[in-house]
Amino acid sequence: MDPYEIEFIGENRIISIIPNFTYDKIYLICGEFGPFRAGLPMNVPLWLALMLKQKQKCRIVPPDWMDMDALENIKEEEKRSRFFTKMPNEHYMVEAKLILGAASEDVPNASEIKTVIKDIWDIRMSKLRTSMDALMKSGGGYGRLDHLTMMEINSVKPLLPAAMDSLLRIQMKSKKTTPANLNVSSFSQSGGSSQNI
Amino acid sequence: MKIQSKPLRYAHAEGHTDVCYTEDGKNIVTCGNDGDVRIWLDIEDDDPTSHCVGESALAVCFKEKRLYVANDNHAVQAYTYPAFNKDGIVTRFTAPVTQIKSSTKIEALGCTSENMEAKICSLEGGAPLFVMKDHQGPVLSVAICPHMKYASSACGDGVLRIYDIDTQKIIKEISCVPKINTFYAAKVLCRIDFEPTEGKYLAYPNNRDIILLDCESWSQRMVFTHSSIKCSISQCLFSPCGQYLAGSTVAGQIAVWEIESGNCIGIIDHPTSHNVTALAWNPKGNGVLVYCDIVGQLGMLTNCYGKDSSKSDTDVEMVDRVEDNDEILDNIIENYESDDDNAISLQKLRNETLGLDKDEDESRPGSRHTAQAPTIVGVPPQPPFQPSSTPVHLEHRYMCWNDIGIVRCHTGENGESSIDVEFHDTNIHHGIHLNNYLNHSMASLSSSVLALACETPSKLVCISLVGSSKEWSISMPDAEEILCITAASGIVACATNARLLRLFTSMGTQRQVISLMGPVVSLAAYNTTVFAVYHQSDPGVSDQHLSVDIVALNGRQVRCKSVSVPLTPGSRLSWLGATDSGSPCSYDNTGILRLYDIASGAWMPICDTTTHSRGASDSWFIVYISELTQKVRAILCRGASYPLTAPKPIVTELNIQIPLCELDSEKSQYEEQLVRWAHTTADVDIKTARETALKLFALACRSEIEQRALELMELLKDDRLLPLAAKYASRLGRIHLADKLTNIAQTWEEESDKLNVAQNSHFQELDTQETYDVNNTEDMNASLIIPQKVKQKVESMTPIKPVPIKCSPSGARNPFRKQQEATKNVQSPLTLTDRNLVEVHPTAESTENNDPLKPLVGESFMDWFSRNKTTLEEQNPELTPSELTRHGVKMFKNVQNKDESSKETGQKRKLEDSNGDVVNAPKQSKLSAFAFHKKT
Repeated sequence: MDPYEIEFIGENRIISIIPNFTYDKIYLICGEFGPFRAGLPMNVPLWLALMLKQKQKCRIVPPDWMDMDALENIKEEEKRSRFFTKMPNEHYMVEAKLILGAASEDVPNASEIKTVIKDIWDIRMSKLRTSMDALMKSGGGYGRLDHLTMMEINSVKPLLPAAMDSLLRIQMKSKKTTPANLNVSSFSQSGGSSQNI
Repeated sequence: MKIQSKPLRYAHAEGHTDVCYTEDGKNIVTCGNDGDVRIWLDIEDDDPTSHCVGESALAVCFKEKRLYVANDNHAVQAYTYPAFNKDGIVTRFTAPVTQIKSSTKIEALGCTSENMEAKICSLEGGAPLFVMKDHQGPVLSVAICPHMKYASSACGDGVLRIYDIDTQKIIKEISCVPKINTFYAAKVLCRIDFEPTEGKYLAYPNNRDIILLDCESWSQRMVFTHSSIKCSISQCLFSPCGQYLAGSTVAGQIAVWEIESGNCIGIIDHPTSHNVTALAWNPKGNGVLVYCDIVGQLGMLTNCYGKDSSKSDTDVEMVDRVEDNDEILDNIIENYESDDDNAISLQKLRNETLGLDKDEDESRPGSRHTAQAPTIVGVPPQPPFQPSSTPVHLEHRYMCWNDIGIVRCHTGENGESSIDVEFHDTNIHHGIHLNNYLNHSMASLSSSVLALACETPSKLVCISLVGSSKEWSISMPDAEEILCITAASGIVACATNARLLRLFTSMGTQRQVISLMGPVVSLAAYNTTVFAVYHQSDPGVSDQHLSVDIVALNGRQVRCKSVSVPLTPGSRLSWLGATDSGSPCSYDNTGILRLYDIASGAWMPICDTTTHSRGASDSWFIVYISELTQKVRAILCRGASYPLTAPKPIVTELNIQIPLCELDSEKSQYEEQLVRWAHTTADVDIKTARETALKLFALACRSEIEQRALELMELLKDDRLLPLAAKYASRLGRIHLADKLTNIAQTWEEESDKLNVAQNSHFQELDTQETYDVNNTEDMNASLIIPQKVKQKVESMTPIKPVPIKCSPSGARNPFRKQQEATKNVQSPLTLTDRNLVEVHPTAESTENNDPLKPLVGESFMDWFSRNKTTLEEQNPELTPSELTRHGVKMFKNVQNKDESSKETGQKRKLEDSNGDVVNAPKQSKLSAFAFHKKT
């Protein structure tokens, strides 16, 4: 999957905006939204919010988790824990990128938030890499990682199965060269991590 | 009475701590090993002013409005008080300063230091007046006699020396000080003191007792001791009056002796038995002694003089002094009064001036407090304010935030300010940015005009928002200043300090000047009606007395009505406005929102915003109230009563909810809905209302109180519901109830015939929709909870008004107004809807009426019958007159029912249409809504 595809999926999330025009309900394929009333907050999908923002028709309300204290807490949690902690939502990276990109003036402390989110991302990526490394080194075929977001999984998608595949081939080759031992039968299938790879 | 000890409190870090009082006795000053000097109001003071003077501060002394602190540069630094600016160095040493001491009567400071020197310096600094150099150890303490004759110092070499200042020679040496080679290790500080009033005695601690020396002869006058003193006494200090002596021991016990008698008044043990490092008497002479210990804590002893008064605050202190004066006066009066009869009775004079009753007892201290004559102080009258605005002193403030837009004012450093207006709906107008060179402080925004006003010289400036943004302004006459302004779609009003309410049209024609009956508090407006709130009388003890003038303009007519404004006890008005249906609303600072229902003339609480606050210091800043959607738009302000300009706050919608009892029960919820819909012009359809009413009826039926169900149906007066209710009742098995209900139905039908006749003659012509003349609507049969019906009938009878419900294509009419009426006619869900709506179209419907037998709209049976009697007779010649009448009734009913049913369906569609009018865009089929219109 392309990162753009994940971004597309992430854009479907609902965020809150304050329109500056008045319009009644709109009926979209994904659902109905509205009526739009100038000055009052309402919920719309992220892609719609961005489009309206670019046309200067609304003001985006940053989601609850996009706040310095909350993010600092998440970062501390992530640093402390050996495993992955639950992220505020499945597509935090996508949301952060889009909102901070298009509507940074609506978000207080936008640059600091960018830094903190980037830190969280880096911590998680490094954990992912070490865990992959451990998986490869131990030669195991099955690993389980919870609370990974789509974007993170996607970043290792090209690499991990290919690596394990090569490893398997090398193993098979080496097994072929050694005298055939009837007991050796079970190859643990390289399953990868439990979540959709 | 015993000496009382107040609990210790933390003052400084561990180490030697020094304490002293300011000269007026109001503040306690401490300094400690953490290098801070703290100024306390009282031992209870949790937030003392704290100043850092260095790494550590060993000694502090207050004299002549300056503080002298021994800092870590080995110098005595002077600071101004209370500003705490450095004010010069008095003297320097080469080692840490151990004590700074002074006496009330002398103008010098005694300073001692570790470097074996003790100096007496003048307050300004400069060369010391006297340097005592004969010490052979660290000098621990010094004392100067109030006549500047003698000075005494205690030194770590074990010797207490007394010097004559004039000759600068040692007069006496006493060995009483335990030997120590550094101040920091010294437990016994051997703090000495001269008696402050006359310098008669010198007190010094000697092991377990304090020895009082006579200053003339230097002989021992008295020895103070106590049996429970377990260890050496370290300090002693005379009270400011010189009558008492306090001493503290190394174990932290503090004892107070009376000098004259030598008795020990009391001895207090230190709660944690730490060495007391400093003592200070309150110079007010009220028996309060503060002390500090070696771990940096501050403690206080009260009632050290052992008198009756147990509190040490000023009230009682005054009383103390009064008591003293009393005794003196008593003596004088006793001597004088008996002599001269003609003399003015001093006793009486004394009583009057001191306000005391002669027969007062010592044992009734309570009555002394009533000695001060109580004055009834009421609350000050509320000053005028602009609703939905933030305080004027802020640098960035909101001048007005309502449903149209936001007006902000930013004041720069140089006093220049600018105003910027942001509209919620950018289609109304683009944002405006103005330079506020006239210094406008009040603003009001409406859909047609932005009104700004400044104070002196008072001017009203309006910027039109429609058309080409023209601006008009008008100056107030001399000495008149605008206090409040308001603007609505058809009117601009300002209230001045001459108690005048000036009304203008939105484009600047002066309309009217009205006198208000009191100083104005706030203004609000709706369409062409202005609500002016003013003080109708001086405020009471805790309440403001406010009243509102509802001034309705229509064409050239002006109508005014005065209504009192209710407020929560002890509260002030904090917002005034009009809902989108024109009802005035008031909001007070305790969070209750009240709506004035024009038809009933009553103020109703519609929202308690405190139920929506999460924290105790949260408050809501009201922006707008919409009756149609039954919501209040407000901004949550945390910890303040107004929102900040940055970050831009988000408006939340709160529900309008009438505060009925037991709102968590189903019954109350239905009741609340019905009450709400009855009194506020809600955008609710009849069907929902009927369902709610029916549910309530069902609950009443099930509640075993059949009478309640019956009563409810009688109340609602909806004949559509009645058959349904009867059916439900019979299904439940309440046949009795069902029968009664059907009886009611019949009585209603008969009554309504008579009613129609009555109504026609009752109604008078009324000009405007905003008239608040409720007297006209004397409809006895009007349902109790649906006054809307009444109002509606009123409007419907005016031939001037065009038919409201039909979607009038004429664009000439004010679209806003049409929407208003349409919505007004939409609700009142529980009325005899069909009949009313039918009445509304008297002319229109009549043209469709070709069939003579068809009853005319609004026609009663009698009229119809009389009209068609001949026709009926022709049709049914065989019937007797009574039979004919009965036949006629049946026909009349049938035809009318048919009419109603057809009309009703017609009405229903029309209602939906009018609903569509309320919403801005025309109703589209769902599919076409998919098409994204480029216009947005």
